[in-house]
Amino acid sequence: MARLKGKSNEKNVSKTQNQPQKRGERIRHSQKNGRADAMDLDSPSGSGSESEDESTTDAGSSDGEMIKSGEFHAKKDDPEEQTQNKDNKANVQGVRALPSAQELKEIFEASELYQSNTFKLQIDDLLPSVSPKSSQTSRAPLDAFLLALHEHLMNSANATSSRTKKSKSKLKNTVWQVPHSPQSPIALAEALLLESNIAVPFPSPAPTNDTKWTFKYLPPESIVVIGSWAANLSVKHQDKADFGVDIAVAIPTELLQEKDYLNDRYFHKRALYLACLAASIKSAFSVDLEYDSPIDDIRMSCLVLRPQKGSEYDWTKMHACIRIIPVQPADSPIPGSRIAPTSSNLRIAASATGSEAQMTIPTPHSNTLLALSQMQTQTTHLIAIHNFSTSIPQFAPAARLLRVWANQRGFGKGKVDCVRGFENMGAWWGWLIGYLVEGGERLPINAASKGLSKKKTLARLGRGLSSYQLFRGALDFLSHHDFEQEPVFMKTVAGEHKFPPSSWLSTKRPVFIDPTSTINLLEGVPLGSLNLLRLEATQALKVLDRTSEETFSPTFLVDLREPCSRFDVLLTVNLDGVQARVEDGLEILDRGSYISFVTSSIDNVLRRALGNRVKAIVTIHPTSPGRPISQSQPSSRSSLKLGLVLDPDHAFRLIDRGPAVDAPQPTIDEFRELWGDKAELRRFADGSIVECVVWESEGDRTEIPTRIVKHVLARHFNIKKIREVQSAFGQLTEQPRSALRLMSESSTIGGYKSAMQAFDELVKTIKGMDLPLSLVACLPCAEELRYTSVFGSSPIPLNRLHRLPECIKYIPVYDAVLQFEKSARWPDDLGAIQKLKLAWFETIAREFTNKLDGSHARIAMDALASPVEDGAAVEVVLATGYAFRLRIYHDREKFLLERAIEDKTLQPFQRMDAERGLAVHTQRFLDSPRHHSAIVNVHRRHPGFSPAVRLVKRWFAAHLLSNTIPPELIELLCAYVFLRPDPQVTPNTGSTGFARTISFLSNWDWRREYLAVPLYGIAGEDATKDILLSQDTRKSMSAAFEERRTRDPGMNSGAWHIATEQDVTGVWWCKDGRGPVSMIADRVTALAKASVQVIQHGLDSSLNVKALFHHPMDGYDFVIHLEPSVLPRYAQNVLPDETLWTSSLKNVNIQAGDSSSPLVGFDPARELLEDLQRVYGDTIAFFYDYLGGTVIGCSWNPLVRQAKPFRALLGYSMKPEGSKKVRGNLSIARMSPEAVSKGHVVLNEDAILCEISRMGLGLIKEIVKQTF
Amino acid sequence: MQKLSDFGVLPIAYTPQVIHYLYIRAHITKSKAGAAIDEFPPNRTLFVVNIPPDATERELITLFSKPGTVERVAFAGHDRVEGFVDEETSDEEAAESLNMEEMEINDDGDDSPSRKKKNEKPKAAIPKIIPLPTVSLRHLRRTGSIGHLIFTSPQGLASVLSLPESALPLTWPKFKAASAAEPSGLAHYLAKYRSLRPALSAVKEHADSSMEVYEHKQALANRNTSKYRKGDAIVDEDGFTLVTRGGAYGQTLGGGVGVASKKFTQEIASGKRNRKKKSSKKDGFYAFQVREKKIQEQISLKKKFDAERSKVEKAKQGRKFRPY
Repeated sequence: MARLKGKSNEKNVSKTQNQPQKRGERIRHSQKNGRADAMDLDSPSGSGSESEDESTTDAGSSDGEMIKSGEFHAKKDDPEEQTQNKDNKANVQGVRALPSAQELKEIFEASELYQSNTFKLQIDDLLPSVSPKSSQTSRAPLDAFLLALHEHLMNSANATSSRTKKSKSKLKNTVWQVPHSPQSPIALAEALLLESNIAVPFPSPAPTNDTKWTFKYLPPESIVVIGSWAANLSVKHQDKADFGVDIAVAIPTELLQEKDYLNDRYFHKRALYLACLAASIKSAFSVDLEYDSPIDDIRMSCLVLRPQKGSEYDWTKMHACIRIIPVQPADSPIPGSRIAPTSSNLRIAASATGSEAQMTIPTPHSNTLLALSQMQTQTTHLIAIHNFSTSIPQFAPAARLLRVWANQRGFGKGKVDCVRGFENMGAWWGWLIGYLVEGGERLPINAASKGLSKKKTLARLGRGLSSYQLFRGALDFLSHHDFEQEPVFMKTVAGEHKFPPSSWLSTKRPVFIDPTSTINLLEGVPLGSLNLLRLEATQALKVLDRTSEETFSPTFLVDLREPCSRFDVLLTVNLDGVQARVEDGLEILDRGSYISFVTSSIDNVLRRALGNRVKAIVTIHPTSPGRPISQSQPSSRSSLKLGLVLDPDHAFRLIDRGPAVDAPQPTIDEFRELWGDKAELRRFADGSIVECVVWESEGDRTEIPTRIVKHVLARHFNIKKIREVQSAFGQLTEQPRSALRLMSESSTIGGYKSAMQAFDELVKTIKGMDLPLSLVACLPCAEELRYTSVFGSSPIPLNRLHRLPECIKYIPVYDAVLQFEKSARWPDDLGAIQKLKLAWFETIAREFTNKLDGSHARIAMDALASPVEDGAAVEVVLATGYAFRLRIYHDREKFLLERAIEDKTLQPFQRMDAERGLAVHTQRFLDSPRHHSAIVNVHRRHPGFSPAVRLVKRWFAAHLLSNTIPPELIELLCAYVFLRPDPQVTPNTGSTGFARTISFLSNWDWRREYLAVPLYGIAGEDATKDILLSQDTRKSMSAAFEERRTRDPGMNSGAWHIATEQDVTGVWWCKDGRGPVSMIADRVTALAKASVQVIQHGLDSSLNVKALFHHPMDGYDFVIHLEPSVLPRYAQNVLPDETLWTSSLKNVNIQAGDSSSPLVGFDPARELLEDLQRVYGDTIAFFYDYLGGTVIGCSWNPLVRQAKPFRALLGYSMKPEGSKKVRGNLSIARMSPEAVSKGHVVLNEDAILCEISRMGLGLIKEIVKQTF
Repeated sequence: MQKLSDFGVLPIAYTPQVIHYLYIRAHITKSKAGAAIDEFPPNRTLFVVNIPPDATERELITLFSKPGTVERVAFAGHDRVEGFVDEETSDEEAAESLNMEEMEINDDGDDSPSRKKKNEKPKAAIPKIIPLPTVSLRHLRRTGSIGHLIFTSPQGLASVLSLPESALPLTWPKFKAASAAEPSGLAHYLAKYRSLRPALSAVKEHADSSMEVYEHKQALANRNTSKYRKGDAIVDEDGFTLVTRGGAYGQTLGGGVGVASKKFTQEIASGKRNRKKKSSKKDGFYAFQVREKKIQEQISLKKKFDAERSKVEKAKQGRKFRPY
């Protein structure tokens, strides 16, 4: 496409392409197009990848025009299109205005082979942006440098040779003098350090003075570009990291000996050689040099060359760095047998144990490194990949897609949060696809341990599949394949296994053998990481299956690495003073460093300890950064993060059972060794006596996995410093203990359970009453009864209530709806129905006081209710301190109200009353109960839902948004995150759910996207089952959304459009301007973005969770400070001053605190706020935290702050413009005559503040103006 | 006094430092000449703009006590929420108009219990509604609202309109907390909370009496409507059966034999109910039809494809398809 734009633009732009009128014109036009196409196809750039030509950017505008005008040919030059005779086709098509057969084929292909047209087009647009530029101009400097480098290195022995002079490069004056005579490694290293300030990255133990061998520099035997760059498969890395151009430099054979395999001697020589190369390059070119040791393994060190800006070879534009990797030459003297997985190449010096035994302990890790470091291996790989590219048409795009997908999930390089083991695995994605298409090597039949498949052919994917299909096939494989059980052997070059397959299996690692049959590509990849990969692949497939929804961006465009929202449990482990309980000297050597050893054994131990509680445990850390060449060792990691994905079915169980008492001793010992003193022998109800570990639940069971990890790390690795956020988050949804102690004597009362019990008691009592009609149902609709209130219930027994200080006296009221059996005796008149309800309530209230001792019941009228709307409720306060507000649902009301709205004979205001009444009625009696039960279902399905909602609600409240966003909307939002977690797995803990919701909020483009929550489909469904919305529902949802946006483009209500199956229009919670307006939604997005930043950065330092809930007040025009001591909910504040209730009991009761009528649900601050909103709603925006907030943030409406001509009905308090401030005395301000004559008025801010403080007498401490 | 368009600017000192401005003007009647009783007598009514939102009648009366005696205050603006007129009012007979004035006065400081009281108007010789007890509460209106002050005499109005500079600004009255009948702030909310929870006995009386009134009215209405009973066919002397249009359930209150409901007839009229007629035209009979259809299909396919492409193109401008 791009190419066409570049070339045929001039022709196209001038023409009007809109349905040409005359036939002749049409033909001419299409011929031209055809020619353009042909020209294009003839052009030599056959690289296959679409380039971002510089010329395209200029052509941008006309490009758009082409598309708008329905340019039929634009698709023509798609890279994968076959060359055909276009001129003919174009002709036919021009005449008929029909799509050509070719185009039809494409259209069909796109939908058949690529899920959908859109998906294909999106892929086409994605790929160029992740591949290196292919244009000659940008590549030239890099190619030139590579050539120069090659020339320089091949001739580097004779430093002063004439060639270097001849070459045009301006060599630096201080040319590195190549030492010609062999030197001891120490001497050579010292010389290098002295002369060029280059350290040698010796693996430990470094050579000493006793080392026998000597070394000298010789020019490399050969230099080959390898890896993704050579195969043209490079994919951009995360975090803007450069493309890597891997260059294998073969160490001359003379420098190596047969015995070099032993004890890393080869790697010592390699390090020396690398340092020499560095010195040579440093002296010859002006490039930046650094060492890089992938996966923290110094044996893999390579030299990284970056361009210097403005230097001769400035290839900055390519965003690439050159990595020089020394390898063994093709005719390496090191015998091939040494790289077998079973051979032992390391010896512990002066070991006390018998050396015989050690000879047989294999060192698979170092052997793999040894094998990787062979020129032969590398070239074979190169050829194999090349063969894939040629034999599988869509190989390169598919591999790229897979890598982009993986990179977004941290399976790649990046500056943050990469999954351990995948740092250097860029090529593996290609191998994977190659394996799936070409099939693997068959295993000997008798090698069958249970998992080995006996399938005849192992090829799974067809050669001719599209890139999307290949990608999908790979995901499918990843989602099902268990690398632990089933090894993978790629088709070998030689046609046979080099080493017996069983030898690979004996390494107890995931196995994926490369075509040379000598390397396990998955060596060094922890099983936990592969488990995570499997989860991710499963999740991605789920997304792709949902063809009706947007699938592209969750699959490829969203960065999902942020660990806080990714893992259910995230722990930051400080590695200072780490000391493994069991140390295996040989394995430490094999792994290369102590830290690597510890990391891999942490993985092992934790996997054993957590068992099926987790679906995956992974270690995450940033990719190791490069280091200056003067530093030999990579700086070691001081900490790493552990991420756990829990299995909600098992994660929170209290007991881990071990072997039975009569099991063989070794198994019991193993169990005891794992758990230490936690292990105990118990007898269970079923009579079995079993070793087990019991995790007493101290309140929150969701913390058990964290506790297990802490215990195990402390026991086995002496790791005590572990940071985690889960418990800190938990504290945010609890009231301070000191307040709770005052509220009730026993700490056991409270929580959701006892609230439910109180409710059940209430219902039982009503059922037992002697009422004219019997109770059919009592439907709760209160946050506290659906596990979503920020605080669990903390009832205050009535006999204690009057003794409490004012600031912890709040008793919430739980709403419920009573539904009685149907009766014909209800009056057919709205007003009368309300009166009859009053009579009902009176009876119920009397019965209550008779039946339940110590309880109170009375009738609460609704302020401001019109006579036709439901306007009263019975308020029952139980002696235990639970309060309920019961209303009666009468189904005929709805009909009567609807009739009143339709009735044209009524006055307009009567109909408006009826409308309002209907809104109240539907919300109270229909929507709320339905919503309630649906949310309870979500809670049952996902254990993490309730804690997450509570945190999210707390977050909204803390940011002073509780008066602008209804709690039900927040519940829906969280439900969406839990029910539609894709492309991630459903969170299982509150902190994860919270982080996920916040990051969702930060990304949600609510102007253009609505949420479809499959809330009502989950009833009775299995938690693992995916709930889909029907096509029809979806359609009507979109229609409703479009309709709303066109009707209200300014988004004065319902900026968030959240629809469910029952509420396809998404208006349940947005009536009467309750939902957020665009200003609020913008605020939420900004706050969420800031919070995400805190989460991301905070974890690296110490995340103070409360910082997420701290709201800066400086953005407001003025701030109303409330008097905390009179706020009944003050104890719920995020940072309450506990002395208010602990020390001073003196401000008890400014109200007559008779216990005869307890104040329940009395929240004067909220009342004040609602009054203020009613009075000043158009003038001021108020922001308040209902949860014990002590400040009300206020912002003037910028529109009313401007001077305006006077009108009687401006609707705000105004003063004549130009009236001066009165200073001190009472002299009246004089207005300047001209201002008066203009007759302009401005907002009278001071007077308004004065009125506010009058209205909040006794509640408001002060009002602070922040802007003037 | 300063003038702003045709309004006088009346400064009110909330505190010595903070001045609130009222905009006043004599009330101009727009009513037709014939209107016998104007709600606002023309020569002694003051039209006031920008009344403080929390002002009570008492406070305003006190405020203007110096220049003249205010008879009553009429806060304007039918706050729909505060609507006081019951559905029943329209049902009732013409006597309504007499009550109007009284109701206007009661409007201020209105809260639901007191309104309840007013909903049920006393009727001659019928049971009376016993109202719920009321507490006078401060009523907050929207900021910048308007109202009318009716003075006892035209002199009062005149003296307000010609207040000398020296008398300005007027001071906003402040009642001592104890004497304040209408508390504000925390005390207001407490009083409101309590007033919304009347004693059970009062509620019972109110509910029972209201139901009595309703039943009485219902009985009255029934007497007036029809001698026919529901469901019975009405046959006149000549033996003809009266046919009426059905209600929602195909039955009418008055009885008679139901015919098609209005809705049904409307549907018939709008043609919604038209049964699908099999079109006599046969598709795909001629070869050209098949061809045309195929072409149409292909074109629409193409169109769809182009639409999707332009959608992608649009998305591209937004997100560029750069994953990271």
